[in-house]
Parts: sequence; structure tokens; C-alpha cells
Amino acid sequence: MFLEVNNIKKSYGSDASYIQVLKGVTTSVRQGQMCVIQGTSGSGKSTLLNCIGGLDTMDSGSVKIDGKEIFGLSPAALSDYRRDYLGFIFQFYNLVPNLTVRENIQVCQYLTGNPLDLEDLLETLGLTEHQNKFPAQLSGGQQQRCAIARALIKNPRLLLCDEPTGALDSKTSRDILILLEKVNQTYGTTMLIVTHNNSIKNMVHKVIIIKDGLIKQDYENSALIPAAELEDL
Amino acid sequence: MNQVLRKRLARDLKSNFGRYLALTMLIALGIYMIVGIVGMSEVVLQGTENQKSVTFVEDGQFSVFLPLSEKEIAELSENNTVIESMFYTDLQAADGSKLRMMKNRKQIDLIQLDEGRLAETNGECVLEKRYAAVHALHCGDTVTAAGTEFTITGIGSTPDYDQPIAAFSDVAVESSHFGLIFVTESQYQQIRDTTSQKAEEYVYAYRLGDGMTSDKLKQKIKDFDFDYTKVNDKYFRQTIDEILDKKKEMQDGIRDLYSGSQELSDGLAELENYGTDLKDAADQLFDAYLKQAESTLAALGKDITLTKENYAQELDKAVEELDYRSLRELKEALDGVKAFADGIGEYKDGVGEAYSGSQELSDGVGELKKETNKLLDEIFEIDIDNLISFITAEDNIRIAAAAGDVIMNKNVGLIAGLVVLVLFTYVISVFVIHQIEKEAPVIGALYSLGVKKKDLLLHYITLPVVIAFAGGLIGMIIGFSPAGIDTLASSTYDYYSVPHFAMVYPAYLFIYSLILPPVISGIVNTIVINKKLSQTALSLIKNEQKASSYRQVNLKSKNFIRVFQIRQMLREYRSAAAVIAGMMVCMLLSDISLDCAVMCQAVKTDNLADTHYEYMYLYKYPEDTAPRNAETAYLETLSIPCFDYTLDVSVMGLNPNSRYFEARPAKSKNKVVINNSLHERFKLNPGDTFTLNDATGDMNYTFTVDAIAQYSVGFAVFMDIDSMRELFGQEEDYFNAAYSDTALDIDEGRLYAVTTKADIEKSAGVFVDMMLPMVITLLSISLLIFCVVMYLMMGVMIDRSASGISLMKIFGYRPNEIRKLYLNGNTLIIALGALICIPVSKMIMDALYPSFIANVACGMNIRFPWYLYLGIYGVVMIGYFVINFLLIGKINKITPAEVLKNRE
Repeated sequence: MFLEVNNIKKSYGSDASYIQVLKGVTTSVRQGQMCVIQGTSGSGKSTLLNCIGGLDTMDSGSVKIDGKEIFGLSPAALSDYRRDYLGFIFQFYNLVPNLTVRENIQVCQYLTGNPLDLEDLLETLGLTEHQNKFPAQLSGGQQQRCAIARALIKNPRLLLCDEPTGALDSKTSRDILILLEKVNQTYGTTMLIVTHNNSIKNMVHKVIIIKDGLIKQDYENSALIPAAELEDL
Repeated sequence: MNQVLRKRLARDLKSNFGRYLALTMLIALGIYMIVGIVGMSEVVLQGTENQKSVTFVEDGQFSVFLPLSEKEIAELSENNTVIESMFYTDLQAADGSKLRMMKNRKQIDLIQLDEGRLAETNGECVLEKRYAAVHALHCGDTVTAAGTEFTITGIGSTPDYDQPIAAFSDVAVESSHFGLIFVTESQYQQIRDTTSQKAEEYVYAYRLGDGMTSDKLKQKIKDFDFDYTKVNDKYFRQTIDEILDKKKEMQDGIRDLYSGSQELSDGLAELENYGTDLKDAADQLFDAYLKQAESTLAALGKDITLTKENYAQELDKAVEELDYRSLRELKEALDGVKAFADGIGEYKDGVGEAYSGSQELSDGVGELKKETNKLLDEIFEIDIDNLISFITAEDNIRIAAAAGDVIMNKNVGLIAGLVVLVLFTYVISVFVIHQIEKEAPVIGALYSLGVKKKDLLLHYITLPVVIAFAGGLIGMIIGFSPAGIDTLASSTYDYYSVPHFAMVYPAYLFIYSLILPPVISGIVNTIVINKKLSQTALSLIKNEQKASSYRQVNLKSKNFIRVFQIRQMLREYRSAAAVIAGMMVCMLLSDISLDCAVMCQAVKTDNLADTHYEYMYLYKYPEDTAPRNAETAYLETLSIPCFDYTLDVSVMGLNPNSRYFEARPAKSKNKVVINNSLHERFKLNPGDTFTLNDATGDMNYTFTVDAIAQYSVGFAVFMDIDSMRELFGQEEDYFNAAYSDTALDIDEGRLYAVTTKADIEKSAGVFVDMMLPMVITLLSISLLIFCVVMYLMMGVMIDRSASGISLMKIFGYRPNEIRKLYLNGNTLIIALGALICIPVSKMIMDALYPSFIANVACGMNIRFPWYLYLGIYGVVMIGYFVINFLLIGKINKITPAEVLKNRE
């Protein structure tokens, strides 16, 4: 397995404010798979993503990416882990507002010695004509595409997407999902997509449903529906 | 709603306590400086003014050759004018310093005691406070002068020696070498009578009565009868006698000439008389010869009457007829006698003419004598009156000197304070803007709920106004405390001999401290915030950032890090501007102190380096012949206006190829060489003209600069000595100064003063010690302000970039890479900013500096050596790197969680 998550437990606070968000989550994802982590607000899905992404420390458990254990790594080692293995896409894009589209992508290009071709990426994501614009001059979809390009430029082993369509309308959401699908097919990038949108699970290889800090369902889709055909986005 | 919002303020204050505390302290520091500087000035100014009515400060003083008689004093005292004698004698103290002994004052320039009491008996004295402080003397101690031991009963000061200098020509106070003691009248007299001291100076102070003016009083004194022979000063009498002797010599000469002409006339008159007699005798002789000839002719039978006119013809006829040899001989004799008588007649006529001529000569010489006497009276009109000098209080540099010194501080302090306040409130506004941008969605939500902009505006300016008020209050309290005004006033009290003035609390300083900061803060922040709050609710909710606000600049660099840094700089231009503005203000502050330090050091070094003589003798009564081994010169003191002050300029007439002065003035009455001090202060260059004033003679002299010579001691103008003598109407060979390498044997009574090179060195070094505390204080304050402003502003830059920094951490950027992106760009700003601010601030301060030293007659060498510029730059960069280092901690505290908060 490319990604192995074993009995992750994560809690916050102490005494009266103590809350256990993850109560022992175990799952795995194969390389090249698109996987959705679904659940209601407060179910622990974002926490799980943050733990896998090394953005949050686990209380206990194990996370291995391509055999590399990340539990217990120092903050500097975790930073290197994110640099070498991961790409991130956020709900509200989180583009650097005073950098152009091109420069935003270069933020992550700088981090790797073997980036993808920037011009090709711009072309693939339909950003060539927008490359010298600032985020404020772009639509939501264009900004998210820029964020995707930024995440992809370093050819990450694992792409973590936190509500990538959460801030977009249905048409734009569909476009983004089509793009992610294309990226997965073209580059074979393993993806973890956190969403509360029910429809997305139909286009991915694996579905993980979390409730109250535990995995309620964990299954692989036998019949994938292309993103272009998804309804009720 | 406002009540609810107000709770936010307290929480915001608590959560950003360090930052707001730093801002408050910054404002407090600025206000402290202003209150301290301006307050100190007011204390001195008002204290000096109040002192006038307490001590009955003189309206002026004059010195005379002979003490005024009772009658003269009574005449001057008409119309309630008060005259009091301020006679003094300079004594030598046991340590070699000079103590000016005066009697206790009764009506004018009363002694103000800091401690103790006035002297009441012999053996007691009040000691002038600066001298006492420098010599560590207190009440109860003793001081010995002129072989007499005095017990110090009191320590104090007098308003006529506010600046306790021995002579008006002294440049600086040297309390280690000069002070005053006040004794009883009997003690004073006893010392005068029983010890051999220098001549007493007869000085009187006056306070004008109704309708009396200084000019009228001066004229009255000049009109008094004056018998110069009674003056004790033998050199004075000698000088007058010499002048009068010359006049007498010329008058005697003319009188002798007149007597001579008269004697000549008398002699010729007598000669004329004798000539008449001689002529008569000659005529008689001729007549006798004629009679004899007639007798002879009668004896020969010729009865002819002979006359002068016919004798020759008759005798020739007779000789022809009678052929008598005796007749022929008789005729020849008659011819001879006739010729003799005619000759006598001509001689007599000649003498008569000579006599007339001599009479005319005598009359002419008589006229010459009359006119020459008149002319001599005019030329040699010494106008000898009893007055040596007359100086009004306004022109007296000893009186109100401290007040004159601080008046510029007051004006500068108020203006500087305004600049500093605007800077600090701008710094606050940067924080507030950052806060608003952070809370933009919240503000948008409030707008959409119906909250008005003015409510939010009021809310957001509340904290800056409160901080400004608090800072102003703290600064004012510290400023008015002993740590403030008293500390800053110490430089005045350590130099001038003034009583410890009562604290004053000028109302405008309260306004300046308590009202101006919050008002300026309110105005600046309102202007800045208003624009931010004027966005629509929706754009605030979306926190839309206009693309144009990031300065859409097409950057061509291929270096991503460089591009990122530039983008970051463009984004944070407001904070960067605040840092640069702060740097400029700090540079200006530090330039004040560095200019002062450099100038004082230059005065000390250059004055000594440019003084090539060991001894300088200034004559009161010049000699006829120059002392051996001395170079003589002619000195006059004129004045030049400088802002509201009048400064002395020494006009020096030099002999050719002077060995003590570099100047080589041409033979000209208006082309002169000026010294470097005049060039530096008044920007005079060759070809420029300038005018000096002679206050005593009320004349102006306009000169053209021919060249500039290096000589840093005060202001000096060099002329050829002969040209100068001609210009000022002095005789050939006149001189009143002598310079030498060795001590000269000149009678002290002839001299005003003797100045050695060591004296010049001592007085030049006074300013360095005096100004050092101020220099250090200002430098420290400016560095502190710079570091705090830089820390705060760069902290804001990091706060505003927290989200971006967090994102970079998520992406895996390492700490040093993040520093490169977010901190190192500032290095360029600071480095470039310093490169610009250092020379620009220096230029501005160099332009302003002459007004700061308007009352000091010295050069203004404020050129920084190259290494000082490097040093300043180095300090700025070191300060920056220290702050940078401190900010790394701030960056390290930002976690990836910052970005993760930004989600639904």
C-alpha cells in the first residue's frame, strides 16, 4: 500500500475542554488512487487529513507513506516530508495575493529539483492567458486551478485536497473535479479529497466515511462515474 | 452596541499588550523629550524674567576712569534713576585662579543665595556658585585670596554675571579659573588699603527712572568735567600727555614761527627808520659838497646856485670855461656823493618794501597760527571724558545668557516634537490598518447588519487615541519630573551661574502633551482608516484586495526569491515607509548630536592647531616701539548680525609675511582675507561682500572677500596693517597687539589681557565636556526610537504575512528559506533607505544647524570624516540585524494552523 494509516488517535484540550476527535482510525490507499474522505462537520475528516499531511501531531498511531513512517518526526522532518511527498489544495485556494498566477505556481516549483514543466502545466490547466494576473483578478475556478497547478508543479506523491470545491458553484466544481480526474489519469497522482459533498464519492476509486472520529465505511468503488456526469454537485 | 464593542478594545489591548506598550512608550519618549527640552527652556526663560524684579537687574552699566562725585551721582539719579557702584578688584586665589572681589549689593543686581547668608563681617564672603561647584566648596569652607582667608557664608549668583566670564572678550565660561566673591564694604576697603592689588575697576550699574534713557544717561556722564591728571592709571595719563604733547609741539612751532615773523617785521621797521636817517645824512653831505662847489665857483668869480639837477651842467661849463682842475675833481666828488645818496635812497626804499612784506608775512603767520590752532584743536580733540565703557543690559553678554542660549531650544523642540508625533501616529495607523484588514469580514458582516461606518470609525480610532493620550500623559509626567526638566537643565546649571529656577508648568505644554498627541492620532488615523472602512459590506466580507494595491509591476527577474522579495516589499510599502520615516527622524536627531560633537571637537582641535603663537598681548595703552622678538598687529572688534544675535568679529591688521598667521592680505582698505570660521558660518567666498558694524562709532564697514585663510579662533578678518591704519584713522606704526613665542616684558598696566596658547586650548575644550551628556542622550534616544519603530513595523509586516508564512511552512519551506522570503527583502529597504537617509538628513541638518548656534561666535566645521558615515551606516545595519534576529522568533511562532483556520 502506498498510504497506510493505522489506529490514529487524536485529541484536543484538557479537563473540561477535552475532546477526542480521532478515536482510532485505520485505513490504506493504493498508489494512483483517488480517495474521498467524507463526513459531517466535526466528524474528524479534516483532522485525519492534517495528521496524514503532517500538519498536526497524532497522539498515537502510525502513518506510512510509501513505507516512510511519519509518526514521531520532528517539525523540521515533517516539513521536509511535506516538501518531498505532498501537495495541498485548500477550500479557499490560499494563493499569495501579491504574486501573479505564474509566481504562485513558482512558489512550489522552487521546492523541488525535478518540477513539471511550468508552461505545460499552465496549458493543461487553462491558465496560460492568466499567468500574469493576480488572484484578485481571477474567478474562483481560475484561482482553484492556479492552486492545483501550484500543488502539482512539484509532482507530489500524494495530493491532499481539503474541500477543493467547497467555495465554488456547481459548474465550476464540476470543472475542477474533471481537472482532478484528468490529473490523476495523466500523472497517476494519488489523491485524498476531504469533502462533505455526497456526489464526489461516485467518481473516486475509494471512499472513506468518517463519523464521530471512527471510520464508518471504507470501500472501493467498483463503478466509477466520470466527473463530467456527476449530478447534484 | 458601542458598549459591547468597547469590550473588544480591552481584549485587543490585552492580547497585543507588548505592542501597545511599545507604542505608548515611544510616544511617551517623544513627549518626554519635548516637555523636557521645551519645559527646560521655559523654566530658564521665565525664571530669568522673574529674577529681574527680584534682583533688580540693571538696565546697563558703565565704567569710568575716576569714581563719580556725590554731586555727579545725584545728577544722574534724577528722575528716579538708580545708580550703584559695582567696583571690583581681581584677586588671585591660592590655586592661581582669579576671584573678582565685589561689595555686597544694595539696590541693583542683588545676590541670589542658593544657600547661606550674605557676608556680615570681615573674613566672610559669598562665593559665586559655579566657582564653588567646580572647586567643591560649600558654606563653612574657606577660600584664600590676596593673602586673606575668607569663610564662605553663602553661595549664590548675580544676574550681571549670569555667564560668569572675566572679560567680555572671553569665549567660554571657565569656572575653574574665574569666579566672584562678595564681601562687606569694610572688608573690601581693607583689602584695597592693605594689600597691593591691581587697579580697581570703577563700574556702576544703573536702573533707568522716569523718562530717562540709556543714551541720555551716557551723554550726561560724558558732559561731566574731567581732570585726566587725577586718573591713577599712569599709562592713561601718559597716553593723553603724549597726545597733548604732540599738539603742544605743533602749537609751539607755529607760535615760534609767528614770533619770528613778528621779530623780522620789527627789525625791518627799525632798519627802515635808520635808512631814512642815512638818506638824510647822504643828502646833507651832497648839499655840503654843493655848497663847497658854489664857494669854489664864487671864488672863481662864478656866482651860481648849484642844485642836484644843475650842478653837473654848471660845473662842466665852468670846467670848460676856467679849466680849473679842482672844479673837475669837485664835480667828480659831487657825482660820487650823488650816487651814494641815490643808493642810500634806493636802499631805504628797499628796506621799506621789505618791511611791508614782513608785515604781510607776520599777518599771514598770525592767520596761520589761528587756523592751525583751530585745526589742532579739532584733530587732537581727545574729547576726554570720564567714560571708559557703556553697555546696556541687552548688549551685555553676561546678562540673561542662559535665557539667550535656550530660546532656540524651545523653538526647535516644538517643531521637532510635531514631526515626531506625526511619525508615531503614522506608526499606530499602520497597526490599525492591519487590524482592520484582518477583521474585514467581520466589519463587512457588521455593516450588513446595519452598523454605521462612523460607529466603527469611532471604535477603531479609540485605541490609538487612548494610546497617544496615555503616552502623552506618561511622557509629560516624566518630563516635568526631576528626571525630565531638571536632568536636561543640568547642562545649563553646570555652565551658567544662575539660581535654581522654580519649575514652571506652561499651559501650552499641557496642551502639547495631553491634547496634541490624541488629536494628531485621531486625525491621522481617521484619514487612514476612513478609506479602509469606506468599502462595501460585500467586499469587506470577501476581504477583496484590489489588484492595484499590490502595485502591478511586471518583474522580469528569473530569480524567484528576488521576485518574491520585491513583491513583498511592494505589498508592505506602508510599513516600509514608516520604517524609512522613522529612520529619517532618528537620523535628524542623531545628526544634531553628531554635528554638535564634531563641531565641538573641531573647535578644540582646530583652535589649537591654528594658534601658532604662544603669547598674545592686547594693549590698552599701546607703546611706540614694538617689543623685541614680537610681531605686532592692529586689532579692532566689529560685529556681524547672525539671526537675532550680534557676534564679534576681530579685524586684524597684519604685517607682511606674518609668521603667526597664514593670511596674506593685499594692500587694500576693502579687500580682505576672512578666516575659515566666517566662511563656514556665513558661506562667504572670494568675491562676496559683507558688512561689519562698529557699534561704538556707529559705522558700517563693507569688505570684499579676497581669500580665505585657515584660522579657527572665533571670527577674524585680516587686512594689511597699513591699509587698516588708514581705514580706521590711526597713525603710521600704530599697533595694539603683539604676538610672540616667548613671554614679553610688557608692563601689565598697559595691557587689557594676555592670552597664552594654553588658555586657548583650555577654553576650546570646554564645549566638548559640556555637550557630551546631551550628545550621548540624543544618540541613545534616536537609536532606541529607530530600533523600536523598526521592530514594530517589521513585526506588522510579519503579522500581515502570517497566512503566507503559514502556507510556506505547509509547503515545506525551511526556516531559513522563509526568512529569505519575508525578512531578507527588508535588508534591501534598510540598506537603501540608510544610503539615502544618511546624506539627506545630514544635508537638512547642516542647513538648519547655523540657527542652533546663532549666539556663538565660532566656526561651524561639521564635516563628518568618511569613517563616521560608515560608522552610522554600520550602526543602522547592526540595529537592523539585531531586530531581524528578534523577529525570527516571531516567524517561528507562526504555525501551519494559520492557513488551516481559513475554511468553512
